[in-house]
Amino acid sequence: MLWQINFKSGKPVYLQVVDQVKAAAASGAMQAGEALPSIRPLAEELRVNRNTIAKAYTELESQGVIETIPGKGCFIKSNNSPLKKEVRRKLLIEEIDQVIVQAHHLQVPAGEFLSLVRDRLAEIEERQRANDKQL
Amino acid sequence: MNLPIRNPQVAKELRPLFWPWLGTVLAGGLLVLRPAIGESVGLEGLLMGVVLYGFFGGLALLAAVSFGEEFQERTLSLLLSQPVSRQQLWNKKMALLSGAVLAALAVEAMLIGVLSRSSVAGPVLDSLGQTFDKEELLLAGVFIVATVCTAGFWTLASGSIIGGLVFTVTCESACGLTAALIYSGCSSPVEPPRGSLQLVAAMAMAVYSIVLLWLGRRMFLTLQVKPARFTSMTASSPQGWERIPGLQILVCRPAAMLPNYVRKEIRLLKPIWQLASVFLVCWVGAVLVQWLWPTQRIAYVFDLLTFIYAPITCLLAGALTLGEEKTLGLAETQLTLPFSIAWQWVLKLFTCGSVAALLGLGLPLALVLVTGGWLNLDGSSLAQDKDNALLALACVSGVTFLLAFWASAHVGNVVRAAIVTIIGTIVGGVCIAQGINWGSHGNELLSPVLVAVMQRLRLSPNQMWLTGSVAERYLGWVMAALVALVGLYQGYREFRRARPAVSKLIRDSFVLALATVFVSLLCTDFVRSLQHLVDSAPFGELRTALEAIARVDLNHAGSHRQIVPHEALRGRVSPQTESWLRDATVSYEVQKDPRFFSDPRFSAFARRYGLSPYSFIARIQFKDGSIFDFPGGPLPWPGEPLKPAR
Amino acid sequence: MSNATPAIELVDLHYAYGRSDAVNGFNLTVQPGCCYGLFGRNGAGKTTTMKCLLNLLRPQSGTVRLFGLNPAKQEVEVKRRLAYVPDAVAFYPWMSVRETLDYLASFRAHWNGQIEAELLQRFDLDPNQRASALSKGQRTQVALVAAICPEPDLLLLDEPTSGLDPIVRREFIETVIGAYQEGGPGARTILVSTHLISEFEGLIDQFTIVDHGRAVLSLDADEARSRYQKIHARFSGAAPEITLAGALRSRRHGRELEVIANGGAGAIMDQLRRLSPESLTSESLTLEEVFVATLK
Repeated sequence: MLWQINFKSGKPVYLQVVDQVKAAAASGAMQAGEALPSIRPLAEELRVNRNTIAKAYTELESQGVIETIPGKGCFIKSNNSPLKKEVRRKLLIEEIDQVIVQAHHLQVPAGEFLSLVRDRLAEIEERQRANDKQL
Repeated sequence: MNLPIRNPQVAKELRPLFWPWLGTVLAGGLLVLRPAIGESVGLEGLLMGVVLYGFFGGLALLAAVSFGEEFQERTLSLLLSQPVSRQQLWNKKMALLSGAVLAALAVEAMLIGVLSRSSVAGPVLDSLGQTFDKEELLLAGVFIVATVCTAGFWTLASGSIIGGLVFTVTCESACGLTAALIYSGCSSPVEPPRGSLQLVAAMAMAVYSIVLLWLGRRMFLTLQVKPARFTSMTASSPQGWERIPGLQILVCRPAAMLPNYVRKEIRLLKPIWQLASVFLVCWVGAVLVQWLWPTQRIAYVFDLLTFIYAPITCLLAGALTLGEEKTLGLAETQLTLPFSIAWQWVLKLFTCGSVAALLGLGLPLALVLVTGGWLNLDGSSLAQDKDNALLALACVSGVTFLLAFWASAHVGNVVRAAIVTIIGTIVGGVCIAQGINWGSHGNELLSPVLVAVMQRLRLSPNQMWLTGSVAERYLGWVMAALVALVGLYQGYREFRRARPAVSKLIRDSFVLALATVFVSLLCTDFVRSLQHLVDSAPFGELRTALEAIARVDLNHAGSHRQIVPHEALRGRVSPQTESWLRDATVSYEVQKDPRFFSDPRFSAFARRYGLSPYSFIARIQFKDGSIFDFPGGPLPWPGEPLKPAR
Repeated sequence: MSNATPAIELVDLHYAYGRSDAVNGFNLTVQPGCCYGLFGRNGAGKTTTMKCLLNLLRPQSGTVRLFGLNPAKQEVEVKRRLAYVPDAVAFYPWMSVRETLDYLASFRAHWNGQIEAELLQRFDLDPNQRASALSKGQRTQVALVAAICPEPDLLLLDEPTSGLDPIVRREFIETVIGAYQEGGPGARTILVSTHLISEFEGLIDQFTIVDHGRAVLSLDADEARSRYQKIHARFSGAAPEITLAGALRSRRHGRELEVIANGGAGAIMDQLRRLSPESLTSESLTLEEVFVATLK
């Protein structure tokens, strides 16, 4: 997959990596059980501090997105995360709150915001279906 | 080249020491040539000068290189950031330097020892024995020790190899000299013996070396690595130097190209100006000492100062500008300017040569003249021009300058140019000596040429000798100028390329050495052929012919001269000799030894050994009236067969 | 981690060349495992600071501690734990690459030959080539190999990539990340002084901007990027002239207004929103832009 680090986004680099992995897992670009690149080659490719990548992977593992098998590497975990549903809900609520604040900043009214959300859900579902069909 | 040494640190220290070490050993080895040049005193003085200069100067260079190499290669940061204590580095450098110096001395000792078993030995050892006495050897030894001990301090203080070399030699010499002068001044009015003077000098130098050794070590331990702009000798200048009155002329102006180039050259020669001022100070000091203690004869000090100072100045003048430009990285840029490269070369040669002549020779001579008018300078060979001292100095300085100029075009920096110059002077000396040797002992190659000239132009031998002696005087100069031109052309070619290559250096030095050998051979041969003109073919033919004519009729022995008509000579001598003698009158006179006829015992003895009472002297009278007599040899007794001509 | 001895600690460092101050009261603390950037203009005092760390220069005042040790007093001990890549790499010209590496290895107790072989192959360096025949990039590569192979705890890089071509520059950074950091994650510290900031952007954890021998700004890289925002607003009429609290710099050009904010980006955005602009966007500054904004 294509990794991109944007230094202008204001988000810490490790968080960008975490988000990209999570987005890939959610959109189906990376399947469950697929291997992530190991820390050193990824750090070299992105020309980013090795510790940053290590921190990102640790974060992903603590969030339950990936699992590390010693001797083999890091793999995407299947969507049935061991985290309890409430925790997952809580994480999602955090993200939703952030988006609402953004919308407010960008002066998008509530009604338009909701219709946008519905549109985006539809589109991502469509993309996942397309990916599944390819395989 | 790779030395087969395991420890990379030791190998790295020794590698830059190799060429200076070799040069030093070669210079010392030249001592062997001393008996070969025994005849002319001037040349021997020159040789000893080269030996001493090369040997001791080479040792000083060795010492300066061992510390200064890091500056040269700018590797000081890398070296000092390694996990090794400075004390260890210092110890290592001093140990290896001492080892190298001891090795050089050992090689010299071995050389002399080997010589003592060969036939060349006698004269060399004798000359060594008679020249150097115990105190002088002690002084030389202390000088070497002082060089090794103090070079570290001076190289670190001046930040370059050449600076370290110059300061080391001058300061230890000054130290010894000052001590000797003070001692002789204090023990006035009686002048102390030379031996005790040398002892005092040695003691002073010993103390000086201990002090500076300690100082040098401290300096190394606390050395700070300032940015690279301070490592070039000429690059740094104090802020606002242009405001010093008189130096305004050295600041480049926008419009004038040629003067700017000259200005730049003069400015690059800054160390020479500094050296000249040091020399001036020393001279003034010596004058003061002489003035305060008029009874002491220290005229030799002035000579010493000059003979050390002049060659160094000329060497630096030749090597400095191009070497510094290469170190600073400017040499190639200069070649891209829209200014003819040939002109640049000529201008550089002219400027540096003028400065060298002015400061290296002009300054000492002016000082000698001024001082001579004021003080009594008896004993100074410069002031009285003993043994052509001035000429020798001028020659040595000139040769050093040209060689240094040639060398700086062939190698990448000033230090290497200095080493090549020293080795080059030695090699040049060897070549000249060898050329002279071959010329003196070989066949007279130029004889046929001279004979042909004589015959074609119908000259008498006297005229030949007259012209020849004039030509002799100038032949040497002309030949030397030719060799110099060859060298300058080679240098120009390398200057154009601005990227020195060792192969070119070797090839060019080979050519130059061959040229030198050839030229000295030619000159010696010319002199010898001229000297032995009377033994050449025409005279031999004439002798044989006249002998054949004269033996026929011995009756008029002792009486008047017999003129030989040309027809009589035809067929007996070669056509060229005949044409030579066409306008001349040949005659001979037979002489009789009276002892043969008066003393019967003598005549019996003579008969037994085939000695003849008759001999003849031939005479050629040339068109211009000059007369040339030469002995014809013995005439056989009538009836006896002709003995072969001697 | 803050209890551990800092890898580098400089307190009130002063150094002057003659009469001009190169370093003037400089403070710096680098924790082990961190990759620290020293950014500054040419002549700001970065190289001088590095040389003071290595005891190549003796500071007139101030304390210098590496791993708690004084480099002037315990020189060898300190140097055993670090390696230095100087800004003007010079080797002895008669040595080959192999010889140079052997020579530098002879000073070290520990030398990882495997990494050396790997790196020589990766950089495509001929071990028999003379040092005088190497290009500038190759010389830097050899210096880097020589610095990584003894596996030191601290790597000091002084303007390592200036003057090198883009490919060599990338390889350099990749090697530092890969061969060096991989060897001791969390224990390997890097101090890199440079003015080519954009290249080292990803590598740097923390940085200090040096100007005229003083530390002007010391921050975490991520924090800097989140704190410094460039806010761009476009208005329907002429851009208003207002003083914005917390703005580092603002520029007006016709209908557009550009503000660089240090920390108070949110407040500024609110302030601007009240003036109903046509569009209002914000983006983070890269470290290079932070550098320019701070020093101009």
